Amino acid sequence: MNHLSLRRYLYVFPIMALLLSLAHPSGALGALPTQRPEAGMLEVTVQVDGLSCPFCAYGLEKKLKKVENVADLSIQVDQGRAVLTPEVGTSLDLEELEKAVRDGGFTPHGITLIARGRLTEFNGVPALELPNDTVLLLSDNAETSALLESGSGAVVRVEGQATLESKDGHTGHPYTLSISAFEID
Amino acid sequence: MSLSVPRRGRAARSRVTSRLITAGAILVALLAAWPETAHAQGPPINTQNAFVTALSGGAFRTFFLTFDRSGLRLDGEKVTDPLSREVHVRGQMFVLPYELVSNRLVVMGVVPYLDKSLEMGPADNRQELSVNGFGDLALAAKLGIYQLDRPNRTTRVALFGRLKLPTGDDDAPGPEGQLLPKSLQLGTGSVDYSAGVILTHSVGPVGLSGDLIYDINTVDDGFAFGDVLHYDIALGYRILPRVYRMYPAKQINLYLEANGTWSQRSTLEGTSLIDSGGNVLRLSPGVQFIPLANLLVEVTYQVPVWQGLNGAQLEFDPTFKVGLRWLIF
Repeated sequence: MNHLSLRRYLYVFPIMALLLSLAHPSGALGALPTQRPEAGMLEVTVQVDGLSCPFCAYGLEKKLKKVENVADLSIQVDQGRAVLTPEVGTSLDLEELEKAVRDGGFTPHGITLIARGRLTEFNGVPALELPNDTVLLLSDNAETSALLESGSGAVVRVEGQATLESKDGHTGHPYTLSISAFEID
Repeated sequence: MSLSVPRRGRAARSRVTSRLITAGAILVALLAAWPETAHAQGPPINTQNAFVTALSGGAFRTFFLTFDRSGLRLDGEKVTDPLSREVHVRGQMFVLPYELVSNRLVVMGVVPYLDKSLEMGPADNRQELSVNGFGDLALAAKLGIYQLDRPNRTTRVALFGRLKLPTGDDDAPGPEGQLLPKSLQLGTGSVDYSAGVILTHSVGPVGLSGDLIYDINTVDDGFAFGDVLHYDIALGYRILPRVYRMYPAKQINLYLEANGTWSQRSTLEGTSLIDSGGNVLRLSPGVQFIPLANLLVEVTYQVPVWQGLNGAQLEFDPTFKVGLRWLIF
């Protein structure tokens, strides 16, 4: 390599680095192009009671994998839970998920999830709008109040426990999400 | 009656007690050797379990077994058999369950392939009668009626029913054209029924299953095997992995089962046969290995520890069983 070409590289390299850092707000040199994260459920965890026979978990695995939009599944026997990763940009039907656990031979004991969605209202109640026509009502707690200050329409990442409220013995959509942590995008 | 007879009886009882105490001590030692965090087992080998999914719900189970009888007992005491009779049965059982209603009802078909033989006579002129082929087909069902799940523990109860059809050959002739004894035939010739209840309780490192199943045997050609009550209890413990974290993982379970059968006397033209029926209790240590999520191999050795046989009958020898369960659906 002669002096001319070396000098050329010394100029070109910083200019390229400058252009890249301007193009990507993260400013990290060499960072991969990033897209805005899609809305949807990111991770869903079901507590599974009665999971004392791992050989019997085969049926549970079969049933859970049949739930629509499930991309990945891990069953943590010592923790008594199944952790599901939905397809990117989708939501799982939580009622279908609980039914799958029951059909698999066990008892669902609670669902926690991490999801990214848009704040909205459902019949006058604060809610989180997710893909696949999924709406989660937001329970009235301090985290929800803090989250609602960001205003309707904001895209947020939330973590919390989803429960199906029962009224006079009847259940109905949608699930209620009790938020334990959140981030505003 | 010689005084030596009750002494032999006491000695036999003492040996049985000694075996039970030894087996119990080994099991207690095993249970104490592993921490509370280790939990979960598989299905017992000889005892029914109350799960109505997965392992029983869409699977193929087969096992090879040996079943032998030799040595004559008269009213519970060993006596010399002038015919030196020995019964040998080698069987390959095929079980095909299907989960008809999710976590509620499992139906299954069971058919054995049997090789039965009876040897008798002096050593220099031993005679053998033998048959082989498929035995009677049984259709069975298991209905879950109770389930209480808690974190890492479960209690389940199921009802069991069985219909045995006379599909096996029941009129195989001997060398001189006469029919072979009923007990040597591949099938009973009768339609028989069973009903029972199964309990499974699994908590911490221990899994416990028990069943009570009653067989109602009907008459064929004037003969009926006596009704049978099966009473079984199984204690299971997983030894590997010590803590089961992520499913699936290779797994080894130890079992100690007590498997009993109480049989009524058989009848011929309505008359009870004196030399039939009785109570047999077997102690069955066993091991299960689960190398894959959908495959289980198991082996057990059943030792008769109590034989209260009516009249004059051949003793039951230890039984060996090895098999696999494959969750294929």
